[in-house]
Order: sequence, then structure tokens, then C-alpha cells
Amino acid sequence: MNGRHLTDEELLELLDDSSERHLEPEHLQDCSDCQKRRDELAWVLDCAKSAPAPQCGPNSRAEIFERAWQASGRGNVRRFSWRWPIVRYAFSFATGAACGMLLLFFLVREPAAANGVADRTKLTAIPAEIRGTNAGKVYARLENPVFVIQEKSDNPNSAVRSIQGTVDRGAIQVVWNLPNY
Amino acid sequence: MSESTLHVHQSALGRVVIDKKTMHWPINDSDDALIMAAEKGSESAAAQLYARYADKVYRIAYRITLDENLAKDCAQETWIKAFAKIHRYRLGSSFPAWLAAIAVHSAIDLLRQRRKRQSVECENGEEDCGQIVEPAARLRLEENEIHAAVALALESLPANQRAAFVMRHYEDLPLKTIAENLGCLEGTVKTHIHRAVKAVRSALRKKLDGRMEKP
Repeated sequence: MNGRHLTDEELLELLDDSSERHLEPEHLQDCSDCQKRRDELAWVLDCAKSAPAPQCGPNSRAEIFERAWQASGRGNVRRFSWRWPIVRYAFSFATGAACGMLLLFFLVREPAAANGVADRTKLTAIPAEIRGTNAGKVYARLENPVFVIQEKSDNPNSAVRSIQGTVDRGAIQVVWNLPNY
Repeated sequence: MSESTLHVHQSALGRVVIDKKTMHWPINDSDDALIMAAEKGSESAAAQLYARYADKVYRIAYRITLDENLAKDCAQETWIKAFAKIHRYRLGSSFPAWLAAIAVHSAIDLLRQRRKRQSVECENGEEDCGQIVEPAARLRLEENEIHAAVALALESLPANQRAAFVMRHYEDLPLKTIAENLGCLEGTVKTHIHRAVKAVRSALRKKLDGRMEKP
């Protein structure tokens, strides 16, 4: 008999179809003990491999798929989602734009308020003050003329006076400042 | 999804929902083509993949957990992970091997969770904890002593040893892949498998002796 007895690991490797060691050691051909152990292991593996695994029923199969597909979130890929980056960017942009416009509105509105309150008086006849002047001539051509006195909040004593109106059926807005008091 | 856009198809899979756009999905498409479509949200492509590998996943789950309910949970967990992480799959590699790795991990995790729960229940003195440790195997003993002995032997193994044995001898996965799946060296996998075979052999000792004594 050649060599030592083979270990179980070596015998298992010999039984392994995919193993690179296909050559049977010389010892195995002569040793009935190793042959017996190899046959035992082969039988054990056959027993293990032949143990049946139950099938998953068709209802369970379908259920598993449906639940797994839903839970994976893949099925919702094409649906609207707040997680989409483009949605988040669009939402951020819209919010920013709305805030910006609001801010701009207050900024633009603020100076007018700071300039004081305007007193607008609708005129029905040419004021005596401007009769015969250039302002009077302009006034004669205005549609819906108004006399505006705008007081400045920082200096209540000074006020800007003007005659305002439109010409050419509202196409042109005219503001004619009058000299101060 | 509204019912009007769906077509319910009866097949071996059971009830497979296929949307109208992809109803004519070629049945022989490669795994990679189906994976790409599933990644984009095609339910029918995902159903095709599932139909191809559902049995394999369930078999691995059952072989490791040795419990039908746990195997179903494990299969569901595996497919959830597979669909959710399908973008991580490297196209061109083996999808069944990738899936098997997920199934093995899920099964090992579920098995460990169950064993942990059982040990807590036993510590708390719950009466039926002894029955859970050896679940279906005892019932099967009358049906087939050999298969029951194999199942009992595998049940007694640690999760990694059982998984290594299942992957090698039931799924015929190469040692290298098993080592990658379990995150250990090939030598360790060999040891795991050897210990598992040893356990099965000692479980079958009586039968073995009787068989060997016969001329």
C-alpha cells in the first residue's frame, strides 16, 4: 500500500465534481479502508442532496412577488415623488422666486410710503393759479386731469405739486410739476 | 395602478401583472435586459426575472432555514432587497449568483434572529420553546427517516456552516463564490462544509452502519 490514509477533507475533494484534483491517489486504489470511507461520504452526500425541498405554492409565489415589488419602491419610479431631485429643485426655485417677488414688492413700495401721502383732487375747471401759463395750456389738453399734492414725510412743510392726466385716450401719461409755494 | 391599464396573465408564476406597454415582452430576453427594464420600473420585466429564479431563491431559503414559513419570509426579503438594489448589480456578471448571495444572507439573518428569539423564550421559561427548536423535522421522521435525519443534522449546524453546505452541495456554487458570499476564506468554507458533512454523517450513522454491513 502506498502512502498514508486520506483525510475526510481529501476524500470530499475527490468526490467534488468541480474540484481540480481529478486524479485518484494511488493509495485509494489499494486501501479498502479509505475506499469504504469514500463510499460512506458519497452516500451521505447523496442522502443530503436527495432530501426534497417543498415548492412554494402559486398563490404564495404571486403574493411574494407583489409584496416585494411594492416594497422595493421600483414600481413607483415613474410616479411623482418628492424624493425626485428635479422636483425638489423646482420647488426650491419656485419658493425662492415667490419670496424674491414678495421682497421686491415691499422694497419698491417702501420709498413711496416714505415720501408721504399724496392728495389727489379731481379738477373740474382750470385752476386760477395756472391760467395763462404753459401748465394751463397742457392742462387744457389733458384727459381726466387731477391736481396732486404729495407731502414728503421727512419734511412736511415742503410738498410737490403737479397736474397729472393722460392724452391720446390714455396712451400717454403726463405729469406736469408746478413750482413750489 | 388603475385596472384599465393592467392585464392579468395566468402562468406558472400565478398571477402576474403586466402593463400594456410591455405586454409583449420577449420571454427569452437576457437577464441583463430584464434587469435594466426592471431598474426603470417595468413590472413585467421584474415578473419575468422573478419567474426565472423564484424557485431557486425559495429552495436556498428553505434549505438554510428548514422551515416553510421562514423560507417564504426569506424569499420575500430577498426579492425586496434584489429589486431595491438592482442598480447595484453589475451587468454581465451572474444574476443568479448575485441573487443567491442575497438569499443566503437573508436566510442566515432570519435564522439567527429566530434562534435568538427562541433562546430568549427558553430563558423566560416558555413551555413550547423545545418544540420550536426542532420544527418540521420531527413530523417528517415518519415519512422518511433519512431525510429527517439529514434535516435534523443541518438544523443543528451554525448558520454559516449550513449556508456553505447548501451553496456547495445543493446549488453547486464554486468555493470562491461561497467564500465571497460568506465573507471568508476558501479554506474556511472547506472547513464549514466538512463539519456539515460530518454532522450529517453522524446523524446517519445508524443507517450507514446497517448499509455497510450488508454484503
